[in-house]
Amino acid sequence: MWIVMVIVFSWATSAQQAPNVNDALKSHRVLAKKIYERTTGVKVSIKDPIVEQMAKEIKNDNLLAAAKLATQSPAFTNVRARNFALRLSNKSNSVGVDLNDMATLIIGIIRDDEDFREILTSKNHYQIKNITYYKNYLEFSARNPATEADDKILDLHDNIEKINKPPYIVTTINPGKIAAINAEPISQLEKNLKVSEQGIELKENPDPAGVLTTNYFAQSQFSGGSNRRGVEFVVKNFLCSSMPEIGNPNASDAFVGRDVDRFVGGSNANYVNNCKSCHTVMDGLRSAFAKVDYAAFYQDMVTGNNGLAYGSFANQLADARAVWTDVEFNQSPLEKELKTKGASSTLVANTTLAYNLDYSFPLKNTYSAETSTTYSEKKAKMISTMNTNLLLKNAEGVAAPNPTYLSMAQKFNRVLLGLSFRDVVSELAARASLKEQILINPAVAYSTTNAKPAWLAIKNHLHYFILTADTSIAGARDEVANDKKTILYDIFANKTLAANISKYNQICLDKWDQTKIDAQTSESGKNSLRLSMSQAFLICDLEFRKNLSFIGEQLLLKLKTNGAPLELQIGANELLIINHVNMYFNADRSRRDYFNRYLQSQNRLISFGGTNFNGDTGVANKMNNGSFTYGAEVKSDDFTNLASSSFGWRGPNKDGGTGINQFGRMIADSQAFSSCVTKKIFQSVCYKDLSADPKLLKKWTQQFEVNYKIKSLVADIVISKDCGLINKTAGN
Amino acid sequence: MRFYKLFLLAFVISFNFTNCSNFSEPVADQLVLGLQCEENCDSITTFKVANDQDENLDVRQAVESYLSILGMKASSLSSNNLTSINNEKKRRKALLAQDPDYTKISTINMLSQTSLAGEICRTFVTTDGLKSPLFSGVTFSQKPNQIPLNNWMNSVHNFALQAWGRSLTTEESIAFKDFLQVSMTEASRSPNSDKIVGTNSLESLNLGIMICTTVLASPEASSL
Repeated sequence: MWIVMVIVFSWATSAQQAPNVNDALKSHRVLAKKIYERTTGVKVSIKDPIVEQMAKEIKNDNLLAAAKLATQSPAFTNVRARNFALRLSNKSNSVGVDLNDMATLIIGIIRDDEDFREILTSKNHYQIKNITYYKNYLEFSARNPATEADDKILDLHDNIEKINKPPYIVTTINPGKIAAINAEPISQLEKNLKVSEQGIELKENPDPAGVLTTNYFAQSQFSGGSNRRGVEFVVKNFLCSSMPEIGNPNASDAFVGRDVDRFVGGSNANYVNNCKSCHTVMDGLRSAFAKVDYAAFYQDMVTGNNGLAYGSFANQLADARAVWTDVEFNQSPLEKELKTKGASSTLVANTTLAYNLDYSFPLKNTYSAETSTTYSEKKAKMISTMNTNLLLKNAEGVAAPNPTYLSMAQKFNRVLLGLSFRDVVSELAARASLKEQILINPAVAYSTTNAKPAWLAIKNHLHYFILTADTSIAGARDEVANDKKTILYDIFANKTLAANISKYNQICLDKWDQTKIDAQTSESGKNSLRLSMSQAFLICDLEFRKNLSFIGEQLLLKLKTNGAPLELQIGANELLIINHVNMYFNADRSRRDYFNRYLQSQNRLISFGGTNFNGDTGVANKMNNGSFTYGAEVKSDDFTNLASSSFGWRGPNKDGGTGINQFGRMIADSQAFSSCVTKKIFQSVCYKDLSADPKLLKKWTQQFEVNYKIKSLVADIVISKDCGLINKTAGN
Repeated sequence: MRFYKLFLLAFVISFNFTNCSNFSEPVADQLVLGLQCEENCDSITTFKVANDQDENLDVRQAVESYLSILGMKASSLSSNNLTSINNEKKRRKALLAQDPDYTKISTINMLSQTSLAGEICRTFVTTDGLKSPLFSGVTFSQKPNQIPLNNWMNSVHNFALQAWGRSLTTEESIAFKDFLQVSMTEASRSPNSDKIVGTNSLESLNLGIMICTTVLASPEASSL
């Protein structure tokens, strides 16, 4: 209420009462205050020492000196330069974004009164004093020191420091170190930290180019896609133009990539009329970014999304994909056997992965690898972890371990996977004691070739079903209809409904005697419970189980596992295994998260990097996505400038060059860049758009190009008649 | 609550009677300002200060501006005060003007400016403000109504000079007097009227915060 009072009062007292202009003119200090405020963007007390200093200069008829004093003030850095930089750092030109390393670099260059073209070519970077120091990848990816500084309302003028070397990037992963870490019988948390600290190397960027190689720019422009976004961003923010404007319908489209259809809708004319002009220029330029990518190298599952939020800036040897593996398996007879049999490295890798998926529902009792000492430790840990997790997250407030959960966890160790009833039955012949632990597709099971009694004998011992196959078999449907487990089928049929997902989880929980959840937990509590019960969800995730079962089947049935040395059967469908593994990893994020958490609960989550780059050329694979073979293949980071000459291209790279730095040079040297910066500065200081006045724009652009210094430009502008703050009729 | 209702009522009445929709031209009080022309007055009479292109302040601008006007520095604030201001800053970030176009200012923007100014004023009044010349004549250990009205008014003048660069107009003075009189009366009837914070009267501190906030949240201090 008091806020309303005060606001009404404060506005009413002064809203309609601009100071009398003529009276105000009589004061040097009033004028100094106004110049200071417009220059810095910060209100100031008329008694502030800097106003006094400026007033003295004004008194001596030296307005420019007064304005320059204002540009030297911390307020100029903290607000005018900062806001200008923030607007340049995002596509919507908003000041609402958090301070970031891209803006920090721009602010630093303005503060230090450097040639402003450096923002696109600098080999140095700026960082926040005493905050930015990346000890390891985890810090590099998870922190935004500039935002931390913002939270402290830090004086950027004094706390941004220039570092005379390029910023860090992630270069490569050290497999040796990661393998050593994986081999240690340590917790997931410890593994994650160690891999982050020792397994991923940070190095100086080999091709630094001012803001174009900052993490913030990379995050927004190089994540996914085909690195065209970066070109469009630069054209918009640094040339004040757009792709249609910079397009060139008359140039050759020899550089247009393989992902652009030349026969859109079956007609080449569509391509020529709607695509060619922009893509000709854009694709000619985008190859400057050919060797960069942006990806999350290492997913820190311990701290959840924090580690994923910022990811990392990838360059050259970078990687975007993580796979899961298992150190025990890597040292196991199975892998050795596979290699001995001459299996391809891809199969070994994917079999390793598939094995680990299986291990999530431990088949260890059937594999010799389980005899390792760490297995029993991890098994105990898993049971303990699951028990604890389920207990702590169930929102029931139960303080003591629940024996039911312990029982549940133990049951997890006795599950056998299988999709094909026939195959599983044949497998069971060798392991009769495992019948009650089979997962099976009842629809397939209940077929004409499988007698009902056999089916009943099995299903009565099932923990749950996988209902993904032919449900048109009436016998099977009727059979399961009489069984409470059948409800899983109905839910699966409508699995996209939130209510069913929740219900489905509930059933999973009920399976483990987790009853009366509805009565005991609030809706929000259930949501929390649902998330925390990722392990249980995973067990019940039919899509997941389907893939898993297939992989398991391939491994289980194609390998001899009855105590004899493991042996790869001829005919194991390598491609199908790989496809199913990939299918899993291409699944939606929530499912991956569930799986990740599950692995984490067992201390089994280990991420490795592959590579997203061509080993020969260093070009990101995504640059050559697409199936139109007539498109250009990007083989290097050479780029060609096919844009119209109206942009005033100048300098050594006006026609093209190699890499990001030379791309930045090409942009920075252009007339369009000078004009764009001038226009933005004029707008921010005077709130006037020079677009409508080309002569004035040209005049101030030429003024900017005298030394390319922002502070000089601002000082010149703010005291000019053109700006409108001061209507000076005599002298300067 | 009654305090504020009366406060609002007094405010509305005072403005009705002072015909607030027809303010006369303000007269800058050069003597009070201490801005009297020094020597070469003629040399600057050719300068015109335009005010027709104001700029809304974004959140960082507002914080920097309010601190600057009050002569405060973020780096000198205690961590508690810095946290309070920063929390308010975060709350108001999206609510303050995103567009510098002054004509697009909204009620939400104004409320947010006021709230932010209030938090900074609270910090100011409870720290530096206690000994600040802006509150010369105000002894915070006394209750609001024990402090002469003219002393409070003097503070208002000081704040206006500091933030607006000019002295109060006649109409503004009348309004502020009403504001202060009602506030002082209500403060004396408040359940907290005897409450002491440290060695200071809670209600006096509150009134100090109100004066500070009223001036800072005004258009002249919250736009460029």
